Amino acid sequence: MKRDSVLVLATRGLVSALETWKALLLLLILNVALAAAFAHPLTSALRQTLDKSPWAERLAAKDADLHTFFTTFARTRPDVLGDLSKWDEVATGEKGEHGASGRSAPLSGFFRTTGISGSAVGFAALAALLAALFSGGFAGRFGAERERMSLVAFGADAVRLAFPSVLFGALSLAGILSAYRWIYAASGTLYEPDELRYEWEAVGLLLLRFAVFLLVAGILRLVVLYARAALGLGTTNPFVALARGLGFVLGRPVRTLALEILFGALGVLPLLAWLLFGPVWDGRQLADFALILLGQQLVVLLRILTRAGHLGAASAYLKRSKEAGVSASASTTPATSSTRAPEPPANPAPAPAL
Amino acid sequence: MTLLVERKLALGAAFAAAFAATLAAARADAGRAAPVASYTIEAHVNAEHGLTGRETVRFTNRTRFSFDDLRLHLYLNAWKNDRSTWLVEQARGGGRNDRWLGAKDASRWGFSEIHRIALEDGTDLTPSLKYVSPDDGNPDDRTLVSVALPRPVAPGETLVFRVDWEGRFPRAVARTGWKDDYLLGAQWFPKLGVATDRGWNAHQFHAATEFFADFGDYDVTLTLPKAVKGRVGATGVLKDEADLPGDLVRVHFMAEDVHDFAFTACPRFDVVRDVFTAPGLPNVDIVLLLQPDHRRVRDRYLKAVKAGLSDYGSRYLPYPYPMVTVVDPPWGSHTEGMEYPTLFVGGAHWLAPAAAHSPESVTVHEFGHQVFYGMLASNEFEEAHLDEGFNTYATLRTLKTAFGDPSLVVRFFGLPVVFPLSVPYPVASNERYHGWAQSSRSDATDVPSYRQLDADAVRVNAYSRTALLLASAERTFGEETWAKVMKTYATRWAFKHPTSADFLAVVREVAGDAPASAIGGIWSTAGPVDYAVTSASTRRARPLAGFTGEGDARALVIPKDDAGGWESLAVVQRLGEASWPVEVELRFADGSRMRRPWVGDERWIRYRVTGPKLVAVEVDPDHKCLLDANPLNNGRLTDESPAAARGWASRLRFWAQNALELFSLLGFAGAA
Repeated sequence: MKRDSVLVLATRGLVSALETWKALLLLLILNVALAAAFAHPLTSALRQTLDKSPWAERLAAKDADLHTFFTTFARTRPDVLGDLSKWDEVATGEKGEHGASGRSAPLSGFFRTTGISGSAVGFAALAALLAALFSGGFAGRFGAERERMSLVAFGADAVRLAFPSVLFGALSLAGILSAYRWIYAASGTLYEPDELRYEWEAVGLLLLRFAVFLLVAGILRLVVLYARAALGLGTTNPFVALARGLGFVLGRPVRTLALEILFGALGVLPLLAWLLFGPVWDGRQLADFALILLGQQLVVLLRILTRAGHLGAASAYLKRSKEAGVSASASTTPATSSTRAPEPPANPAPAPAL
Repeated sequence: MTLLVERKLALGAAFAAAFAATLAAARADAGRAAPVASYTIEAHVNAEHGLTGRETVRFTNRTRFSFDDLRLHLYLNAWKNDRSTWLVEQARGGGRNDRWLGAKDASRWGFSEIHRIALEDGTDLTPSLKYVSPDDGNPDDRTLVSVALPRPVAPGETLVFRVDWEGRFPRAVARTGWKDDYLLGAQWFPKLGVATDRGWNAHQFHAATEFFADFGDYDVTLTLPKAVKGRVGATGVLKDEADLPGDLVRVHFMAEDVHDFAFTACPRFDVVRDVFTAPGLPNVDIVLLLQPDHRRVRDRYLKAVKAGLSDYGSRYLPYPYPMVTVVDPPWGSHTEGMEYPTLFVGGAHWLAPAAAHSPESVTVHEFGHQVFYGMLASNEFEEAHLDEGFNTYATLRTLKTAFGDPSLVVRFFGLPVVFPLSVPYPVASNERYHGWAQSSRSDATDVPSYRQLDADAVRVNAYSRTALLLASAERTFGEETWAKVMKTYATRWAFKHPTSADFLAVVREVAGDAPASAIGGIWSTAGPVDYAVTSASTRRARPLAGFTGEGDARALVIPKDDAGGWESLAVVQRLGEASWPVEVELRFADGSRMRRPWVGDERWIRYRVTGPKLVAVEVDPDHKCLLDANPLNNGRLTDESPAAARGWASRLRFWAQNALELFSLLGFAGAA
């Protein structure tokens, strides 16, 4: 198997990510804390509604009327949930479909929503910011190839690369939102779905527009991903790193996209498996709760691992390409090679493992 | 000359009245409606959707009122200009969800224009034609005309007149018009208002309400482009189809005892024929005009029509016509889900999972209109609930019986995804009502429909509120009693345009005063029903403490121990404006239950019970009152039971973790 095949790169990325297990656990803990704070108004409102209600017994039944309960809950507690229609529109593609009629632009109005629906925007931003900061740490450690377990070294890398990491995050966010607005939604203004003769034509066009958006968003993600990896490998100028990322992805579109798809699938699989086969806590036995909680955290951890693993794979791919380039140069001009040695890993100073 | 004409008219009228009375009696004997407005129409529709026609209208005055004018609807003028009442109401959110794109697209406009209107003897009435706007005084609305008569049409008289007119169908909107090669010809000919004892009942065309017309017979000959030969459906029965020179085809349809006539044509229709047979019900020929991309739902359409014919036939009225035509409209036509006599338009998606009950739900519903709109024929301008609400109630009942509850289906980017979550009839499909009751409550149901604030008010009152009301009545007053109410109402008032008062009289007669008063009460208020158990407590009963006896027998008692039983207290409140008879159940620790009926018209009621420990109190424990805006506050436990909330909180936190993980991925792409 080739050293830069998709499977080898993916494996190397995952192994690298596993070596940073302390950072992964820290990210999981932060995720748990954020999720608890995010869900708190909802879980409290549920307790208010259910704790002294006969519905508590009804919901425990196998054929519980969940639809009536949750639609009534959503309707009678708008203070808790807020207006979920904005999220609904984005998730189902409704708004993009109707953009042509002069209605409000897609993605507009999110900051005016209240309740969980509104706080989701803030929590999303916070989660993304945290992820960006952590990505600096991961990129630095993957570039360093040693002391990967060290949280101190990880923290030092995160601080050192904080600015470019956040900048990349902001750029990719702006890029993805722009792609949604100007590719997916704007293309919806070019035709009236109702004027097409068959529904399958309308659905096909809708899916095509969405697929193009996903492709562009995926490429943006990849460029930023490889730019981060380049930062970890020693490129200090963020714009040079971006240029390297762009050049690398455009030079190897198939393999980088294949890695993206592979890690995307790996990230979704644990969640799907849990959805299909995972147990549900009935709220009674604490021992059951502990086991189920453990399973749930394992699912989230696996998802975090795949994200980190993707960055690890990108880092490995960049290094492998550089080595291949060097060895190719060395083999063609062995005596007069002036090619620089591979850049030293960032933050080479040994750091004590925690 | 005038006198002579009047004498002739008078003699003719007397003869016609006598003939009409004889005919009416004969028809009544045969179980048919006495015709009031019968039409013989010859019309030509060209490839550009232009329309020219001539109609002969035979109007028999079966009221006690003398009519000195005629009132004719010209519905296609709703799209004649952007100041029509329909378009003005639509622009302010008063109509369907159709997007009106007339300003951008010339094909969106339509019109209907009378060139000549004359009596049978040739008297030209055209000069007296004027547009009228009795509902809103809108001078730009052209959907209703008044034509003065040389002398009034007296009770019992018959007047025959001819109308030559021209029109154009718009790109389909509000369920009339064309899309590509498909045409639904509805509300397309000059049509009389309804003759009542108080004169004409004729309204302008409103964005949120539908129609009202008198019964009669229709004899209609249409000339259409030859491409649609063999693929034309219409109200009534096809009598003849013949080629004409110039690549045209002529079709001849006849219908008896109906109050409207619609037709459809599309060269792409697959014509599917079937026959409905069931013991005790008349056979009915079914013609399904199916779009080619919907072939996979063909059998589901047919099964749904048969479920409607069977269930409505046994519960309300047997379908009396020999044929029913089901139209499957093409994508984007804006004609789906509409009813006309003996013909209705369904609607199907290209991908239609069975769990979604589509096209079943729209098929059963539109078929059901054949009873409430078609045969009972209430005034939809003023009392839309008598058709839509009654039919929604009946539809959901039939669907539940024939197909069970549907599952939650969400379309993601046009692709349906079925979730394993039941969406129970009839509550879930009428959830919209509760949202409205919480946020608007602008109008009571008994406010004339066309005068209600907006489309939400009309839709909620007409559909959901009345459907839930009738379903609540069925559960509260007993299924058997309620079935008798509905059957009596349908059979007694078929072909007679009943009102809400007529229905309430039937309820009073069959079920009693209390049910009639409860239903009338709901219709007369815009407020919601909401009952809640606001407190429930229980404690050890204590023996009497303090002084006992009097005089020398007075003694101070300080009990050391509690008595054996428990003292319990519960308060049930009516938080909503409207009331409904309910039951209150108290459940005790020893498994016993106590149920007490509560008329529910007071603001609160308190229960004090001594005996076993009270565990739970619930108002309307069987959830009979489906109008209750918040069933979650209907019960209360005396002790906490936190397991359910804990379990759900655990799930929700996990979902929140995954959502944040997704945000990390989407938000700062590429971030680890």
